[in-house]
Amino acid sequence: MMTADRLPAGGEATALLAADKVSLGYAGVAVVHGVSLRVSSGAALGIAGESGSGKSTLARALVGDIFPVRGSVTVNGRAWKDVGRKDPDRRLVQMIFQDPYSALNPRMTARQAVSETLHVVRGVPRRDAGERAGEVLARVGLSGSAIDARPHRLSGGQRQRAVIARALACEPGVLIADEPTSSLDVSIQAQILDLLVDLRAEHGLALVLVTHDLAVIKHMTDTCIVMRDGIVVEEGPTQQILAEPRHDYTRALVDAHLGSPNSIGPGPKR
Amino acid sequence: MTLVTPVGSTQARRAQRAPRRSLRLRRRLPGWLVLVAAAIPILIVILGFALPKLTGYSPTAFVARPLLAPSWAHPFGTDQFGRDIFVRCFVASHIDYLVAVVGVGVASIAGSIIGVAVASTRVRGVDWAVMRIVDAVIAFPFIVLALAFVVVFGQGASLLGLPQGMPALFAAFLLVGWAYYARLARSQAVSLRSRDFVTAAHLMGYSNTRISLRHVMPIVMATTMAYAVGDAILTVALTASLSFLGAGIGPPAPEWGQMMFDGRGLLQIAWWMTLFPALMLVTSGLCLAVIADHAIKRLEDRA
Amino acid sequence: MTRPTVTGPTVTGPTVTGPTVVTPPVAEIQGLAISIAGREIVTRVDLEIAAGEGVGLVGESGSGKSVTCRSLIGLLGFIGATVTAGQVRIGGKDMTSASQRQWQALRGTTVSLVPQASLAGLDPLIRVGGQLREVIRRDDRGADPAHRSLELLDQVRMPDPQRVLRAYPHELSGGMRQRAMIALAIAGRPALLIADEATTALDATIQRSILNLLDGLRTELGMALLLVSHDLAVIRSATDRVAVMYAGTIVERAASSEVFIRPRHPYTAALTAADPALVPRGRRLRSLLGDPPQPGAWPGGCRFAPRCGYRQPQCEQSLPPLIADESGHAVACLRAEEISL
Repeated sequence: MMTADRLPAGGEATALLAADKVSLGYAGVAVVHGVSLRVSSGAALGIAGESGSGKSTLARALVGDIFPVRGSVTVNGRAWKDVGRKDPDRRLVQMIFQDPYSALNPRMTARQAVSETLHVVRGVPRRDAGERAGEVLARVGLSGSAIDARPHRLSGGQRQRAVIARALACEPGVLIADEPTSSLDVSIQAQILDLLVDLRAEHGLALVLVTHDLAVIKHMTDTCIVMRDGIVVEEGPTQQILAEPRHDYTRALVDAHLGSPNSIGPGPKR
Repeated sequence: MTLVTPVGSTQARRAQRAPRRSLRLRRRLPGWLVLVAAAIPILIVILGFALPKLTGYSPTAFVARPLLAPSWAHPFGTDQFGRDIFVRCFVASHIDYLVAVVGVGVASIAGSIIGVAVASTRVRGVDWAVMRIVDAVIAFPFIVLALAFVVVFGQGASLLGLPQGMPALFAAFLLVGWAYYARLARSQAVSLRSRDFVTAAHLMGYSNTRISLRHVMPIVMATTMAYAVGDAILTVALTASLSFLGAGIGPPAPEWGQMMFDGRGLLQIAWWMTLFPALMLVTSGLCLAVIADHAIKRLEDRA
Repeated sequence: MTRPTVTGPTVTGPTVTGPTVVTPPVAEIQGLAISIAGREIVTRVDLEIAAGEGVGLVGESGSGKSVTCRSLIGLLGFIGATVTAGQVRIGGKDMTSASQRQWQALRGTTVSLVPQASLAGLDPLIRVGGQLREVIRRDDRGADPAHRSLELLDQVRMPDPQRVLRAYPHELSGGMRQRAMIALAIAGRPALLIADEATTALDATIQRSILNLLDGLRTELGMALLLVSHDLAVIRSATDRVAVMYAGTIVERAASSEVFIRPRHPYTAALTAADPALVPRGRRLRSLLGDPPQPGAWPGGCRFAPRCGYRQPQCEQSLPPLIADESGHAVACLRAEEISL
């Protein structure tokens, strides 16, 4: 069932983030089993899988929110267990969540949230933090009254931008996006994905995109791994996997997502 | 049945009871009603200060013949000692409101802190132990516990010039009230723990203290405060009840429950002694209920 | 907000057969306007569904697509919505102001609804078999409940039907629950099945199989299908015609194979351009700025104008009428002829 031995996004570049034969479980049940991957600076890795595949749990392990039962997750060569709260490596890997509303403190405005991050994580003095926060938020496309409004007044797209801004304020090396656009409208999804592409280019950020949507994986990632029931069933360059899936499950997924003729041409000219 | 329940379950129960005919958006009480409801208790308190000066009647002095029916000179009549009930009713508000504010205020703050602390502690067993104490306190009938405290502290005790019995009442409400808020705060804190923004805070390296104090606590307090207003109604009623039972504020200080106690044997000939304090109690309760409802709806709108 | 009086020629679906026989469409909406608590949610919607046809309704949040399909099954009252203009006709019969009683007679036997897959779609306390039998007794009186239950489960390609009959809803997987709901919906052999985001919460592979199922049922039972979704790919693969809704109105209506390849309305074009499945790697998704407007905050004139790259002053004057060309492709855009997308 497992295919290539060679790890995706591999090569000699030092991996910012790596997982080595990671197994994760709750109360004796293995949710993820023997997964390995590497994320180098500026890479775009996709983790594709349907519900129950363990991809979200894997994402949590990659950010250091949970620790593996077996194997290790290392950031800059160090295991998460060894990275303390105040350790500079802590901020290297940040996360974007599926539900932007849950990811924001309902009583804090976007500016307040980002200011706090700048102050606590980057040591920006309080009096400057507010203004710097405004700059960070502008970079993700939030400005004007939206910055000083509480989350319940913002649209889904605006909330997700705020979440991205907060993560960005840490100046991370890797952004792990767990279904970042699943709860958003199609046109808003496009805005957020475009934003992520732009930010990657501007900041040299690596992106790990965890999603069930193969179309998004196809559009956003260079390499990907396909998960099912906790294990990796296929991995390699995204284009190759989607064009010529070797595993039956991958093939079924590709058919389901991209099956019907999408050879509609290069899209509208504008 | 506890006075306070987690927001989530209230919403769930409300949703289940939604009428089949139409799911109308839950209406807010009209703004003017809330303003009026907020203004009335304030007005009562102000009158409580002003009336003795305006009328020249002290709430504790015998100013006229006893048991006079309501008249222009004494709108609420006089009691068995010839004290003016009108003035007494309004001055009594200070006592009841004070107990409610201090009792509920301190209990809710203390309880919230305990609840949040317990929810975020890593020390094993603390959560369990404290919650069992909370369960025990809540399981007791409140009045029985309050009575017990009053007996222990003694009704005669007078502190800082406060009316007799007040310190005992404070103690009663504080020592019992915190438990309800601790339970509410804890369950809120636990459910907040799993929200993504708390995860994000951990990922950014925020300290547990910062997360508890600056993120979790304000949200929890918003909920507890909203319920505290509703709790205040009950506290006022309980103070009156305890006084009625002879275990609350002692004479000669005016207090609604105390006044109703005085009037109970004379209902047939001096109904005004019981009616007017009762009306004050009910009015206060209604106003607080409206304010509490408004506060809770605002909270749920935001959540 | 004044509503324009001009309505262009509406598209008539393939319903006119011969010079003397005219089969009424299975469902028809004309000039429909719906409000909730005084706010207009749907404006001037025209839609026809012919017998056996597969029609799609696409839109984002605030588009009014869910409310529109609720009007076809008389469920507006349950969400506090009322029809403020226009007509709803089921099988030629005017049901605009029909009572719940009249709707009850149609539900299950003429029109049926399959909602979004969720645990709440089925009664959690009654076994699946029991729920099936209950519906069969009501909508298909003549049939033997035991026999018909199995027949229905077979029609929806339910694996392990005997076990499913005895199972409670929570014991089934999401896909199986959805099949069960479809079985309940088709028990009365309805002429129209409305699937409101019926595949949204499911995994992609299950989605595909459910869509195939719905398509297959359409042919097997000669049933019309109204598929409501925000997902373009879903609509494209399972419908003949599609209506694109934006901010409460239909902005484009055409054959499914046409509308996403050669869209004539800027919004449809933007939707297609924003779909990562359709945009090749390396190209930006050409996202639209801003958010869809919510009911109550609709701009005057064309509701898409604020976000449209082709807008002109005339666009803000009045709501453009939905006008069809010879092939039946209808657009609600004043500049449809001029712009090439």
